[in-house]
Amino acid sequence: MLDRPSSQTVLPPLLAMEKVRKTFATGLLALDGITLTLPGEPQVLAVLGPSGCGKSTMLRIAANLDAPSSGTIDWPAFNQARERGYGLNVGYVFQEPTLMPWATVFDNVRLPLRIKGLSASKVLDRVMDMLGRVGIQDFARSYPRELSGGMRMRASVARALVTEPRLLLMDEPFAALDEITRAKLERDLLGLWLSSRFTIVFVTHSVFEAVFLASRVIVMTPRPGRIAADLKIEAPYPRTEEHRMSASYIAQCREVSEALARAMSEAPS
Amino acid sequence: MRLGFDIVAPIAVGVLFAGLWQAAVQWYELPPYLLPSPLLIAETLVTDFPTLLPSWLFTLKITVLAFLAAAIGGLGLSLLLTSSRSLERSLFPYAVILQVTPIVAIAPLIIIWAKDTTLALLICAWIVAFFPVVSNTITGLNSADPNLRDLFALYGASKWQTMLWLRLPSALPYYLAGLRISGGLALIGAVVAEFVAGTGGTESGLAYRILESAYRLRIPRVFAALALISITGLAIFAALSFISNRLLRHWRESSKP
Repeated sequence: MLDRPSSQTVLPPLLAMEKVRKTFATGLLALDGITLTLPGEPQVLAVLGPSGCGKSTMLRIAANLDAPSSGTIDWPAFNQARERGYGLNVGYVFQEPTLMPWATVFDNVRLPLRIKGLSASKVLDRVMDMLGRVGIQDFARSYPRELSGGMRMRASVARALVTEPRLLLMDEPFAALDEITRAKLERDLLGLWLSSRFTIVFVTHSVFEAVFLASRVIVMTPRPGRIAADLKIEAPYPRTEEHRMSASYIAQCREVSEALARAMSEAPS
Repeated sequence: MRLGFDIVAPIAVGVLFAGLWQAAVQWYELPPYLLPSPLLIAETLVTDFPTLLPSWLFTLKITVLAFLAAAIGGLGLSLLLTSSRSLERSLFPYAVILQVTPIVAIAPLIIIWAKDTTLALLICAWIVAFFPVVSNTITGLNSADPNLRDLFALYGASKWQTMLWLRLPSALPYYLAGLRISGGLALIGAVVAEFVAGTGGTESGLAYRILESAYRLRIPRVFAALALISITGLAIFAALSFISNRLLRHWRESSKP
């Protein structure tokens, strides 16, 4: 079952941005009119663009960590929950693992549940299950400094998913990892996605990463960020390592690269 | 290996220095009232210990109480100041003023105002010791990883949850670094204030012993008292470093700000 936004969709969209602009206090225009809808059906959306194009700003606005300067943003699928006083149930993964060095992996991962008032004993099974799903159950009692970069990132993903969010926002999460670790994490992320069916918004500046992971790629222009292209990536999940060698993958990479090159040339001098 | 070197090297330097000192005193036949030899100082430390002990304990008492007041009061003050931006901006300059005013200059006033000499000494030592705690802890409370702050905001954490689970733990390395400085300063404050207070009445500390011995030209005893002060300062620093390393063993390599 591949996810394509269809016209007879019944689920309300997760996110709807309309002409979102963001100007920073310094006068810097970061985003210039972003209109983007995330349908209710799970998908993997890669946001591709050069450094400094406002991708991270867009993600922060999507998480309600920042407000647009003009334009509107709405989370139709979350509105009922928000009215009942729960925040946006959204997972967020930063470029750095962003773990608390003074807390064990277990305590780091249970943080979102702890903030919601659930005690450690109540969430023990849930947190351990989540650690198992990202493959670090044996490190529950370890401290972040004892883990490798890849395992720290796994803990960070586990923390983001422990609240079972319908939307997972990831800001270049694997950019600092080595090639081999990164490829493994990409596959495992898709595995998690297939078993839980949430929507991923994955910010990256790597064409190969975007095309491997995503069912949809939006290409952004250099600052101020605008959406230059919105492309579908047709390839069945699960995607294996062999897929990285396939002719269709390479053709898709070329297509997206060309779209990115066109977006770059649109840059105001 | 490294740890061994870290201990052996300073001791070797100390022994070498004391040896040269001893040799110089004997070679030039310096009288003890000018410069006593290290061996004579050690001897005096032992023979005069019954006299020095009560003074040492008194200085230690002032130091420890001032340090505890700085550790607890400094933390409390930091929490108060960081609870609101305007409070921090309006009060922090006065903490700086207290810090930059030489304690020797205000000690006489404090001694006049406080009825009890012990209390006056305590206040003086506290004024010297509290500032590094406040300054470091405020920096620490504001040093929490911005991404972690965003994460707490994302999950709708309350101000208290953020303070308890994020800002206070983030401040711990800074707080401990502040305490390490503050421990030594509490001792200096206690000694300096007593120098100003002069006659200490019934209870008198090491500073009073130094003054008294100097008047009577009992220079070896001056040095013995000085040695006690130095040893105390070293012990305080070592103890605080040990506690700090124990508490921060899970932090990254960059545990020391």
